[in-house]
Order: sequence, then structure tokens, then C-alpha cells
Amino acid sequence: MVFSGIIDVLASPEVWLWSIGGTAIGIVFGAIPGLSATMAMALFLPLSFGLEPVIGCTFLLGLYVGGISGGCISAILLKIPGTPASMCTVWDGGPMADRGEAGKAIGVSVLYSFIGGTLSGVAMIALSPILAGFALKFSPFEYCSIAVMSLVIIAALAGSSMINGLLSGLLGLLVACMGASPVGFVPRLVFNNSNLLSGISVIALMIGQFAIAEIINAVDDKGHGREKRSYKIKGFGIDFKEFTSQIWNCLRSTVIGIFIGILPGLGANTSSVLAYSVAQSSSKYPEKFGTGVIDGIVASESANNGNTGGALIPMLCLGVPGNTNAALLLAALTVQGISPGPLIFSKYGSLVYSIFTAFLLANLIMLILEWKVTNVFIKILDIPNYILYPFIGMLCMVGAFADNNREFDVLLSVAVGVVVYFLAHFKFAATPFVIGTIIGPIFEKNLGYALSNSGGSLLPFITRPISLIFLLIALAATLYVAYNNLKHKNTVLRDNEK
Amino acid sequence: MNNRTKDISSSLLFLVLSGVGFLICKSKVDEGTTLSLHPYMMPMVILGFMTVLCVLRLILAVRMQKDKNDKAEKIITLKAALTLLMLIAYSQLFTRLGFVITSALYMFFQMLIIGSGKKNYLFMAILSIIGSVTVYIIFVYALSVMLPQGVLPI
Repeated sequence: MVFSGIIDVLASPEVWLWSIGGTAIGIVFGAIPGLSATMAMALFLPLSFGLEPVIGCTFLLGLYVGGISGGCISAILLKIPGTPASMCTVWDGGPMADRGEAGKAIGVSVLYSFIGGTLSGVAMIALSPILAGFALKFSPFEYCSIAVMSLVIIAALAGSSMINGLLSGLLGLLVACMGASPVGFVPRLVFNNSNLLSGISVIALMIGQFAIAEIINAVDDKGHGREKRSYKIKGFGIDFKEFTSQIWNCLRSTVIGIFIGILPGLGANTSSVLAYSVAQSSSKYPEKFGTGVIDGIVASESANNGNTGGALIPMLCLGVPGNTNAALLLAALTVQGISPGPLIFSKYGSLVYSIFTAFLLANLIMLILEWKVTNVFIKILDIPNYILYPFIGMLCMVGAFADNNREFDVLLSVAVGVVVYFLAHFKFAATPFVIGTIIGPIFEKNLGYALSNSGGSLLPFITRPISLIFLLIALAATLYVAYNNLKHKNTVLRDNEK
Repeated sequence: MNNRTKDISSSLLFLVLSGVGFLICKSKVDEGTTLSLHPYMMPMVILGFMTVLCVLRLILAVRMQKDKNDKAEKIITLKAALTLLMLIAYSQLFTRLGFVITSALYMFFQMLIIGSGKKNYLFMAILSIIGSVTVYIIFVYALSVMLPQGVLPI
């Protein structure tokens, strides 16, 4: 069963071709802002119906893996995440590209995407039933606590002022409240606009924050604005010492990605945000995050690719998809007459191991493809700003419109870009704002369920051990930052007195 | 605006918005039943926290000592303002004129704004048209992503 499943993938040239094609298309979709792995899988899903199950799944997995990892390319080169999951990669990848280290940034992203994805594949193979069972223990209380922890850590560590970070995060949470409430579906903060009933589109938010705001900033740059250096890199751009220094960061972030992937409804962007915030809070140099350190890229890319395998675990074992991509794969299997669930290993064991093998193969192909074409991608930086940015602006409008085919989303992305531009001008970090918009719906929905379960009591947040751990981490991070700020202030005062 | 003025003005603006918002949400919550399940609970709590933080920020900003090295800077430059207006116009005309025409116009004028020194207007115009048509063809016909056709019969 195991052997036949593996052979079905590795010994078939046809499967290899579909995997290469799927991964390549996925990378393209992932790299273009506004398009995504989900869109690629949705577009090509009907194509998979006419293929044999192994080939169809291989193709879709290639789109999935390529799409998630492809986002790092535009995140680093253009400072615009190709997919929401690569948002955190912008924060350090962008500054690295500005310093002429684009090749290194992409090399690191590709390498750690591969490592994160492969480790999640191994976890999927070895631990599927156990991990799926563990995920069932998570209740809305734990989901809420995870959301609080992510937001508080990011807000506390973003920018020079914790108050500004918290205000920015709260503003993001407020924007996330626009639309129908998750409990009761009551319209609120929609200002009589029916387009806001479904809330703010994540794609429009992302395009607005990263692309539109960046374009407005870029118009004042004279010349290219980026340091020109040789982009050729040796290997993946990091030496053995750097690689070993990132082992723990990579493993921790991958585990976070797998873990978040198993929990339905959170998604790869949540895992990369959480991994980034944990990496920053536990780093010896948290103040360097956001200025161009590889730690941030390692955390983000390990987590978002770790999420890919994690999301497939509950889909295969329980029939519950971990995210929208897993849901599309579930649809493909269902159409083929295969029902994922507890009996899948006994009924379709060979196919399951084919899926595992195809997943690992897609990660390998992604590594080779992205690594080999890095030098081609980097040529984008040689394009003068006055040509590059208008093209980016146009592609962003395409991306914003393509999400829901609504003109309103295009206007919304411009509006978000303006808000973020002025937030930055008044020294509000934009990062907590975006995190707040992503975390907000997760937090509120689960808070509603949690309070319904507990009869309005907040006590279970503290009495449930896992929830308590997350909240304590959030508190510890806040106190640590406050202590550091106070220490810095006292040092400055003492120096002034001297 | 120097940093102190920025902090004070932004704190006041946020304070007014969050304070008014909090009162509006509270009035809606008062009409409802169980606080924990009310749709306006979350916005009310958020706005409440924002109001408190804004007050704190305002106090810190007022107490901030004036720094002689703190230079005033513009809120927005002319180029940035023009870009902003163009993006708004782009978003409004996107479905009316269609993707190709709107994108070509946007790209041309954006190139004019960003570019410095001697400009090759013909090159910019040709590039804008080719770029918008190419993207339209790729997305609509190759990737099956719908884009507004507008007034052009393509």
C-alpha cells in the first residue's frame, strides 16, 4: 500500500510533468499580487475532474505549494505580498532588497519554504491521526487566546511606541468589524453601503497597505531608490553559520505553521503572523525585525509553508479542511468518489500515500524552480521606478477587482492605501493595523461562541490551560517591551544629565 | 508639522472619532439585550480602549518638550497628492471606461509624475497602451479572470 502509493507518483513521467506544470503555474499565481493559490486551484479544479485521481491531486498540490511559496517573490522584490501568507516576508525581505540583498532574501525564502513544507509533509505522513485528534481539543477559548497573543505581541513590538502600535492594532480590529457581525449577522458600520455587508476584502486590504501606500511613497523617490549591487548569490545566499543560527527559528515556525494549519479557519496568513511575532519576541535583537534580518523571512516562510501540510491533516483524517485550499482538494477528491475521513487509510491507502508523495515532490520542484529563476526575477529591480510602479499600480487594480469582480474593492484598496500612508506619516506602524484586520474576525467569532458556551463568563480563558498559556505569553511580551522601553528611557535621561 | 504637533493633532482626531463612535455604539448596545452577544459589543470595547489610549497619547504629546531639531515637514507632497487623485480617478473610471483605456491613461500620467528629467512622451504612451492591452489579454483570455470591457469592443 505504502510502496505502491509512492511508486504511482515517482515512477510516472506523466505525474512528474503535471507536478512541474502545477507548481510553475502556482508560483506565477502566488507571485502576482491579488492572485493566489486559492484562485489558481479554483480555476483549475474542473480540469482535475477529468484526470486520474493521482494525477489530479498531484496537479492541485503543485498549484497549492507553488502558490503559497510564490508570494515571497513579489514580497521581496516589490514589497507587495503576492499572497496574504507572505505579508510578513515584506517586512524584512523588502528592506533587504533595498540594500541590494534581494538575491539572498529570495534564496532564504525559497530554502526555508522548502524546509517548512517538507517538514509539514513528514508530520502529515507520520502524525496525521494524532495531530488531528489534538486539534479537536481546541475550543473557541483557545482560538481567541491565540488571536489576542498574536495581536498584542505585534502591537507591542511594532514601531517605537507601544501606544501607537496598540492604537494601530485596535483600528485594524475596528475595520474588521465592518460588515455583518459573525454572531447574528447584523449589519454594522456599513454606512448604508451594501458592498460592505460582507466586510472588508483581505485582498483589497493587502493591496492597499502594501502596494498603494508604496506607490504613493515611491513618487517622491529620485532615481531607482534601491542600491545597485551584484545580485548573484552562492547557493541560497546564506553560509553554514547563518543556517545553523536559524535552525531553532525554522523548526519553531514550522511547528506553528503545522499547528495553525490543523486548526480549521485560521489560514496560512495567521500562521506566518504568529510565527513572526513569536520569533521577534524571543529574539536577542527584536528591534532589528522589520529592518531586513533573515530571521523574519525564515519565520514567515517556514510557517506559511508549514501550514500547507498541516491544513491537509484534518482534511484527510477527519474530512474537515484546514483552509480553503484544503477544501478545494477535498472537493476534487469527493468528485472522484473518494471520501476523506477516519477510514481513508483503510479504504484508499495507496492514494493517500500518493498524495503524501506528491506533496513532497511539489515542494522539491518548487525549490528547484524558484531557485533557478531567482536571477531572472531579480532583473525586475533593474526596471526604472517610473515604469515599474505604474505597472504595479495597474496589476494591483486587477488584483483588487478580480477578488470579487467589484469596482468597490478597487476604490477600497485605494482608500486603505491612503489611510496607511497617513498612519505612517503620523508615526503609526501599519503592521498592527493589518494584523488587526485579519485577526479581528477570528477573535470576535470565537469570542461569541466562547461566551455562549460559558454563559457570559470569561473565567474559562484562565482556567483552560492552553488558553492560559497563550494569554501569559501575550502578557510576558507586553511586560518585556514595557520594561525595555523604561530602561531605555532611564538610560537616555542619565546620559542627558551627564 | 513637527513631531509634537503631529502627535497632538492625530491624538485629538482619534480621540474625537473614537469617543463619538463609542457613544454611538453604547447607545445601540443599550437598546439590545445580552451584552456578550450584542453585535455592537466588540466595536464598543475597541472604541473604548482607543479613547483611553488617545487620552494617554495626548497627555504624553502635550508634555513632550519642544525639540529645536524637530523640523516641520509637509503632510503630503504635490506629487503624492496627484498620485492619490489619479488612483481615485482610476478606481472610479475602471468599470465605466473599461480596464484597457483607464489603465493606459493611468500608466501614462503616473509615468509623467514619477519620472524626472527629460521625458520621452511617445515611448511612455506606447508602453502604456501595450502594457494595458497585454495584461488584459493575459488575464481575460489566458487566465479567465474577468476585467471590465468598458467602451471598447474586445
